[in-house]
Amino acid sequence: MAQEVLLEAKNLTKTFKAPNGQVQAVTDVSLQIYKGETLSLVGESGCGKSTLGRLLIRLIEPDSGSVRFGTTELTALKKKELRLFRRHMQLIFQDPYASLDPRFTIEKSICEPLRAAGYSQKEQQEMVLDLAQKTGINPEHLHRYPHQFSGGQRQRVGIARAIALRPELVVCDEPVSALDVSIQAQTLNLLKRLQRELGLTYLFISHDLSVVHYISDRVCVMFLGRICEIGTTEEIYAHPMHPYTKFLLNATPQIGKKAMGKDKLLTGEIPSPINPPSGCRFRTRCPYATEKCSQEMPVLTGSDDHQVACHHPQEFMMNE
Amino acid sequence: MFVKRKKYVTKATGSHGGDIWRNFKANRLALIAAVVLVLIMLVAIGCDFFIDYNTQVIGMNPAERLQGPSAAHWFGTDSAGRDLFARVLYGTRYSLIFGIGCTFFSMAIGCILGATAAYYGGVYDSVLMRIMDALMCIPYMLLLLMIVTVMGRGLEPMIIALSIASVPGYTRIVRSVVLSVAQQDFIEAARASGSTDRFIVMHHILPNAIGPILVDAMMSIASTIMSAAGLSYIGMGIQPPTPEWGNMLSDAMKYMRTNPSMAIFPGLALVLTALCFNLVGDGLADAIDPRRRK
Repeated sequence: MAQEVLLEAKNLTKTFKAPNGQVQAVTDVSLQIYKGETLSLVGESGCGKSTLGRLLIRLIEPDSGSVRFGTTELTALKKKELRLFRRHMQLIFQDPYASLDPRFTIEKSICEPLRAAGYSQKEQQEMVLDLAQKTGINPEHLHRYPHQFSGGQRQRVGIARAIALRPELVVCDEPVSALDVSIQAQTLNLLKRLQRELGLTYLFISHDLSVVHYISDRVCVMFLGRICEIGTTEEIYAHPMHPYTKFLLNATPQIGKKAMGKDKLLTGEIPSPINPPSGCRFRTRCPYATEKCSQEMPVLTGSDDHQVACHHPQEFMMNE
Repeated sequence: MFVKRKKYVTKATGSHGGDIWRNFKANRLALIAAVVLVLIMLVAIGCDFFIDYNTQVIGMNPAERLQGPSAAHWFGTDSAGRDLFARVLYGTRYSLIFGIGCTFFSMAIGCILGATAAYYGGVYDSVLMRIMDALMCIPYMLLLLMIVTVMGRGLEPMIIALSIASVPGYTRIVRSVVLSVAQQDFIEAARASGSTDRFIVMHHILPNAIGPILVDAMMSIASTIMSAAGLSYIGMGIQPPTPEWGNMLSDAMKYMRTNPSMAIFPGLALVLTALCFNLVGDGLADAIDPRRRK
């Protein structure tokens, strides 16, 4: 697949101050997002998925590194330019309750990006009807307040707001993890349909591997602020090469599959991000770790379809 | 799907203020309290038109002293023969000045201090908040007495004392409300939508923060009125013969058995005013927060 690169991040690093030191949320991450694809970002809680998602659309300022969006150098934009550029990249939030202003009617919430982009009241009113129809919101409910809706309906509002300006990139920050399973499927299908109709590119942040399998074209696995493995969905799911990816896949319960033995599940805690292990950050939990892993940082290597950052990559068979 | 726009456009464009008023109106008790409050305010403003201060309010008339309620003196008379009805009505002024004025001053100072502390954070925030904590350690009444003792008795020192004493509480409330609103996801969503800082502050942070602050102000008007009356009652506030409910009560103490109307009417006025402010505050709290609406 020869694809056009929509967004390219180079060596992004972000460190947060914590009471007892510095937390490296994202360390030296480089990745590309192709136009029209869905790239999923998976990893445990606290591995920097959401931070990376926000860094990529510059909702958080990186400490170092750069992001290029199309031909625009995102990290070089001034505050006002950035504000106007936001119409090209939007965000869908995890929590459909907290991400809508309780004092705004949902119409007002959906109109917020339109208003910020300078559309007139009249244009906004027409566009909001169209958006409501696209996302399956009953237009008669537009004057209601968020607390009068269920989680799934609110998430539709969040989606309508995110696609209002026909952005090229939508960062979906765990958009379905707060929803019921039956609503999850509806919402995922809505996202897929919108992607087809509007030619959207998604960065899909999730920790639910079955959801990720369903929606993504490519998958990027993160551990403690670094990318372990990135590749097409088929490749990652069929031939995981990084031990961490394999453990993650093993941990996904599947109907008809026996529970995994203890030796095939990951043990231990995530190492402290304040004081990450030297070399490969996964080595403290990795059964294959050697001397080399503690001394040298593994770099991403491999083909475009599948890259892995591991000194001892192995091709695991999924059903072994 | 074709939907007639008109059906809901009227409601969709309804302002938030209109919503609050609709919800407030639905609360019968709060509405009655608000009406009573308006009457009390009208009395405070207009009492000069039908009461002569020098003859009726402070002029002594020993011949008519210590009478019970009658057609000539609706609330009876006090130990100096002054008409209690006129004095109670006139006393409204002082209580409202203390309640509303002091709350306004301390709110203004508290909002500035609290909001800047929340916005700038860091050393400024910690130093300011520790000072406020220290002030809050001193019991409220003791702090009032200290300030009044230093500044002397009378109207102005009392206003200053009551204002200063409630600043720490406001600073804390405003700071925490602004902080909690600014950390919400919908603020980030607004930034992601490309809204300007100005829009975010004016349309997201302020409307979401002002509710709890306003409700708190309403409630504290009532307690400020009580504190002011308390100060006067123990003789540290407004001095007789100026008609202040607190010093009228203090005066009535000696005649409780023989002439209880002297204590009953100023006391009722005090309770009624404080109660109304509390009820309106409560109603406002319900009306402002869409989640508390029925």
